[in-house]
Order: sequence, then C-alpha cells, then structure tokens
Amino acid sequence: MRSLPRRVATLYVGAVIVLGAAVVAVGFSRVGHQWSEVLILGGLFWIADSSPAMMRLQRLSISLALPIALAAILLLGPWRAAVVCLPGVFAGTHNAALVKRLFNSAQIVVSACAAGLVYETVPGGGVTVFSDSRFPAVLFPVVMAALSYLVVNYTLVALVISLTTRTRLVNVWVGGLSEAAVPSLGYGLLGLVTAVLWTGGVGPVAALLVLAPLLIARWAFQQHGEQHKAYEATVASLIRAVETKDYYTRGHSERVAKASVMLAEQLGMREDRLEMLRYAGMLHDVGKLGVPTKLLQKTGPLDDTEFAAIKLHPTRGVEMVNGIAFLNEAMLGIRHHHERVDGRGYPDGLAGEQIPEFARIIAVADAFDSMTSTRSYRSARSVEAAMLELKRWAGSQFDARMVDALIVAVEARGWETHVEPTDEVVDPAVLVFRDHDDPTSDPTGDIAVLGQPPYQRMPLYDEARAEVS
Amino acid sequence: MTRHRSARPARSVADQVLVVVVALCCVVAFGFTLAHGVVRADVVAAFIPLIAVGELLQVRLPGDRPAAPLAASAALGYALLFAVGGEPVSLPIAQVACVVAIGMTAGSLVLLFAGRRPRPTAVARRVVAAVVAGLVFRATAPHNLSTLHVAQYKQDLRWVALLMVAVAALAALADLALAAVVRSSEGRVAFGWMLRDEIGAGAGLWTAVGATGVLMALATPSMKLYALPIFCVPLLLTQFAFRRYAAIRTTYRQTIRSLSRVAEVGGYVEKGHAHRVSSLAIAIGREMGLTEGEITDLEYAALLHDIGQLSLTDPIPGGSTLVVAPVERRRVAELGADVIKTTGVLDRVADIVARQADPYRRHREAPDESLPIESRIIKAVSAYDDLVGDDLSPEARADALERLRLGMAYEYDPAVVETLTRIVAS
Repeated sequence: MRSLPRRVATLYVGAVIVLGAAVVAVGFSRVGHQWSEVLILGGLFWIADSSPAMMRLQRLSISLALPIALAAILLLGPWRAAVVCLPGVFAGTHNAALVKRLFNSAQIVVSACAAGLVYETVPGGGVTVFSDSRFPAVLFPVVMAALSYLVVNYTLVALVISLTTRTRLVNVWVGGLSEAAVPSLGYGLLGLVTAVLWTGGVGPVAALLVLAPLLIARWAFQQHGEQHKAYEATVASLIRAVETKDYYTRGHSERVAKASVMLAEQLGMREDRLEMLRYAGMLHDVGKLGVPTKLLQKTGPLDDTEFAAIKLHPTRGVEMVNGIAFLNEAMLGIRHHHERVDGRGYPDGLAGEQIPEFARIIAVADAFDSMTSTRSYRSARSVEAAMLELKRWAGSQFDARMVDALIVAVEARGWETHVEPTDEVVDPAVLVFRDHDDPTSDPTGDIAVLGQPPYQRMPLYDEARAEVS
Repeated sequence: MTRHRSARPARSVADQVLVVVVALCCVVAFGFTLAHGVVRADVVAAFIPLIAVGELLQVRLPGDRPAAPLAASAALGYALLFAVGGEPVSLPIAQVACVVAIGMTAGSLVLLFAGRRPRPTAVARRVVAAVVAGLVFRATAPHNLSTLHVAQYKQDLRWVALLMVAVAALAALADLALAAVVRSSEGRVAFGWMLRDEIGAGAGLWTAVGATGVLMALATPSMKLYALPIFCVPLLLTQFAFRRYAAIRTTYRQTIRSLSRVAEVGGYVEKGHAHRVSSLAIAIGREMGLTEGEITDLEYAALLHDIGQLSLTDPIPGGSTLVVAPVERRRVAELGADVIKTTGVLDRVADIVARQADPYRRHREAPDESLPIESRIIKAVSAYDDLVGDDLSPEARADALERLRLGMAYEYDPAVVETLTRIVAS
C-alpha cells in the first residue's frame, strides 16, 4: 500500500505532465509559417539539453539549454517556444524511466511558456525584432523572463524531490537554486544574444556560435564532475589501504562517513557541508597511521606514555591532511572526534557546544559503527542494542541531539550491519578489551581514575587488539 | 631539493625576446595612435577597463598555464569590431594594439600591487593573438563593412560571421604556437611536440574565448556597448567552471600528496622520500619532454610508489626498497599497484607503480619497449634518493650518481640517469 505522500507525488507528476501536454498542443496549433525556426531551435535545444552537465548536487542538474529556450521565447513567443522545448523528452539520461523523462520535459515546457507569458506582460517586453534602438529598454523584460523560467523550473522540480524523498521543500529549493541559478541566469542571457544576432542578419549561425561557449562550459563541468568522482574513489581506496593494517576495522571509515551523512541529513544540513562531513568521516582515523605500529599491536597493558602517544591520533590525522586546503571544516571534525560533551574527551577537553558540530556527529557515528561491527574480541551487536547504548551515553559522552538524529535516521532508512566472518577463534573470556570507539568497552576505568591527569580518565584506547588479563 | 618543485626555469631567452619585441611594437603603435588621434574614444573607454578586469580574473589550466579568458575575448572582440549601435567604426590596427596592451598592462599592475605574480609572457601572447586577428580580418573582410550602415549589408553578415570564426581560430593558433615556442626553447623538446601539447591544453578554453570575441564584435552593431556586460556573464561562468575544475584537480593533488605521507608516518618509509622523489621525477619528466598528462601520472605514481609497503605486515627495516632483494621490491611494487588499481581511475598510475622495480633491460636482451618511461624515471630517482639519504653533501650526491651509473646498462635507463645527473648538478 502506498503512503500518502507517495500518492500525492504521483498525482502531482501526472498533473504537470498533463499541463505540459496541453501547452504543447496549443503551441503546435500556433506554429503556422514559423515551422523552420521552430525546427532549427528545437534541434539546437536537443543538442544543448542532451547529457546536461551534472553539478555537484546529485539530484539537480543544470541544463545548458536555457539560452536556446530563452532565444525561442524572444523570437517565437510563449507557445511556440514550448514546442521548441519538446525535444527535451529525447535528451538527457537515456535509461531514465519514461515517467521521469515525461515529467522533466513537461516541467521545462511549462517553465518556458510561463516565462514567455511574463515576457509579453512586463512593460517594454514582447519585442521580437531587436534593432539598436531597442537597447537598453529591452534588457529588463528579458531578465525578468529568464528569472521566471528559473523560478518555475526549480519550484516544479523541488516539489517532486521533496515529495518523493520527504526532505523539506525549502532545503531542496534553496540548495538547488542557490547553486544553479546564477550560472543558469548567466548562460541564459546568451539567449538574448542569439535572438539579437538571429534577427540582425546572422541567422541560425548565431545559435551555433552561442552554443560553442556553452558546450565548452559543459565540458568543463563534466571534467569537474568526473574528476570529483575520481577523487572520491581515490580517497576511498587509499583509506581502505590504510585499513588493511587491521582486518577488523575494514570498511569502518566509509561506514562512519555514511552514518555521519545520514545523521546530518536528518538534521537538515546543507549539501555542501554534507560533502565535507563525508570526507571528515572517511578521514577521521587516518591519524592512526601516525601511531607507532608496535603500540597499536601491543598485547599487554599500556603505560601512561604509550597511552598518551596513542591519544595523539586525532591531532596526527589533522597534521596529515592539512595539506588539503579545501577540507577546512572537516579538519575540526577529525581533530575533535574523541571529545565528549561532558568535557572529558581528548585532545582538547572541549565540552558541549564548544565541540565542533562535525566532531559531535562523527563521535556518534563512530561509536555506532564500531558497536555494530564484528571486532576481534566480540561479535557484532544488534542495531537495537547499539541504539540503547548510544542513548545510555547521550548527554555524557555524546550530544543527545545527535544520538536522537542518528536513531531516527537509522529507523527510517535502515542500517546494514557489518559482520565479518571470523576465521580465527577468539575466546572472549580471556579478553578484557577496551575499544576507543566503543563506549561499552570501558567498564570501570572511566570512574576509577578520576583525579588523575586527564588522559587517564578516558576509556583506554586500543586498536582492536586484545589485552590478555 | 624543493627548488625542483616549480620545475620550469624562471625565464628563458625566447621568453624575454617575445616580451621585449611586443613591448617595443606597442610603444611604436602608441606613438602612431597619438599622432593620428584616437578613433571612438568612448569605445576605448569601455574596452580598456573590460580588458583590465579580464586580466585580473585569471584561471590556471593544467600544467601551470595561466589564462585570462575574459581579457582575451575582449581583446579579440575589439580587434574585430566594425560597428557600434549601427554606426560603422574603422579602428586602425595600431590603436587595437595600444588599447589591448594598455588594458592588459593595467590589469597586470593591479595584480602586482595585490602581491600576485603577473605573467608578461602570457600578456604578450594575448596581445599578439589580438593583433593577428585584427590584421587578418582587416585584410579579408569586405571593404564596405566599415563604411556602410549596418542595415545596408544585413545579408552579408552571416559570411562575416564565418570569416570571424576562421580569424579567431588563427588568433588561437598564434597564441598557442607562441607558448610552444617559448616552452620548447626552455627544455630540449621539439616544437611540434610542444605545439600538440599546448593545443591539447588550450583548445577548449580558446573555443569559448574565440566564440565570445566573435559574438561581441557581431552583437555590438545592434546591442551597442550593452553587449559587453552581457558577454562578461557567460564567459565568467565558463571561467568559473574551469576554475572549479582546476580546484578539484588541486585538491586531488594535495590529497595524493598528503596520503602519500601515510606510508612515512606509519614508519614504513623514510620521511620526505615520496615528496623528494616526485619533485625530482617531475623535473626529469619535464626535461625529457613528457606531456602534461604524463607528468601528472608520473607525479602521482612517484608519490604513491611506496604505498605497497602498507600491505606488508612487517615493514622493510629502514624503508629503503633498494637494499632489499629484487623479489621483495617487486612485491612492494605489485601490492602498491593493486591498492592504486582499486580506485578504478588511476589505472595508468597503477601500471607505472607496478613496473617501477623492473630493470631497464635484462642480460643479452634489448631494452623492454613496454616499460613506461615514468617507471624508469621513478626507479632511478627512488634509488638515488635512497642512496643519498639525509646526506646533502656533494660527495654523497656524486657517490650516489656513480652507483647509479654502474647499474646503467642494465638496471637503469641511461637517458634518465643522464638527465638526473644534469639536474642534480645544476
């Protein structure tokens, strides 16, 4: 049975498609003698719209076809412009579902028509021949038309995204529009140039000239996108290489990144910060490499100096990645992911809101994953048990708001627990293990040594190695 | 060793000659323009600030190639200008050279005041490109273009548009060819090779620059000078896309650099080894005329060449992969290549790393053609760095080089060792 929002989404998509079809039908009835212009512009629209450059935002893509749409609006008026935008159905991602393509095309058609109507009604608008005497008066209606195209377009798309993914409309709308509006509007003004040159004697060649910078821009955006993907893949696999040091933490970094992002999405974090948080999650333990291997692999109890050395790993991690300029906020997340809200964490003993938001998020995600994964000394806990533990430590070790957000996110979207098949037999009875990520692995030490230097009050740091009692 | 980072020599002779010749020509053009009077001072007043601002908005293309797309487009648009708001305009080429040069110099001065390094060679190239475009266009355009009112040759405009496109292509070629001349005079690499490299790196942005310049010249007759700000927006956004592309490339590089230290911080490799090897390898690569793509692969492979050590349970003592048996070295190479291959995007880098331990040639065999030049460079440089170690004395260097030379016929590529010797000596 479908839930109510899904049914609303289906209804909404259907309505937009019907509206688009109606607009195109009116457009066709008005093409008249201008079919050659409609055909040429439609072809150009198809070229510009096929494989639109994907921007950093995963769900919204910026279409470079806007200038062609705008040129069509200026040259042919709202209804015929809608027909020009029709080839959008055949462009774009080839394997997208038919409904998706129909909706996409319909929303573009509707946007173009709406923008055309705005152009006709704004004072000074409705000009179709652009001689030199028309400037600069015609600029205002043109900008208004481009703006209304964008606003209608983003509203229609943001609505469907927010209905299907249940994210808040404002977030999608502001997130998408703020990143894509300025570039789109900028490119859109080329539509005016197309119209001017077209009517000024250059003819359809004008549109080809206008397309050249657009195609180059699209190429650069694509390069950026590809490089970005390559970057993510590279970071992920290098982190995996780092994790080969320890069989049991394999995949830990990526899962912490995933859980952090789930949590932050629940909090309604902006997309650019989400990305930064993902990197922070991926790299949060990279500093463990800075801890001498013999300490990480030591099986006996650690003395004070050894323990102090181990607690350097968040700081070491920051030292290792601070050559990466763009990670600024992520650095704070890496440095402080072992702080506790009660102020008894390390390295700086920050408390409550002093701890950077990223660090508070990663701390919860880190503990959650370590509890639900198999470690050398115990099997994985169930998600429910881990949630209970998180709740128990909320307010002392963890920020209660973050714990709640993670629990809501995991309950809504599920969590795939990570259970590695154990190939070595470990008898839990002989192990007194303390895991730095796992709040439950600190039975007594936490309270027993109160009054000692701060680092001794912390749960013992260890690296999934057992301490034989 | 860090001075090998920006592996290009500060200024070559060709570089200086180009700048001086262009500057002299501009001074002559300036005198000529003063003597004959300025045509359409209002248009000049619009273009000079535009070109100057464009000069401030630089973007760096792969391989440390500075570009100022807005300045180049505006210069091209000015060179091709034939009418403003219906009025025909006939600009003398000397004035075009002056306006472009003044605008770009003004922009460069601001850069200098802001503490950034201006690039006189790049400016000179942009001036030449604009002047070439202006000259060719004036020689080939219909004569009535600059005398009749726009409305009177409306039907010719589409041919004018095509002519302008061809002229813009020539201007781009002039710019890229000059860049190739300068660079081929720095290293020991053939001009043709460099030209191909420059075209590969610059053609994309030049297409946008050329098209925008042409559109500017074509649109000003009807849109008057309002055309200029409208063209700024799309081109600035193209530039924004390029800059983002450059930013992610930089991040990528910084990340590989940072993560290459993972093996060192973990105590597997001597500190700074990866960084030193990559600096020296890049210097050798440039000297030997590797293309930009190859240099990037070389850099990444050099930075990551010891990453395979991470997969070893027991690190090789001291980190040096030179003192251990060839079998062990090959294992580290293969393990490293496996790690890199899992990224799915660095296959060539993985290949280079995989073969870094292979000898240049085996006994009684011809050198292996399939052995990548990058692998040969990394092999020699890594060995050199292991041998020199922390000892920066000239004796230690000479000693290390001598030992490489002993292994030259079989273990190391003689051409690489020679280049290495030359670079270390300088």
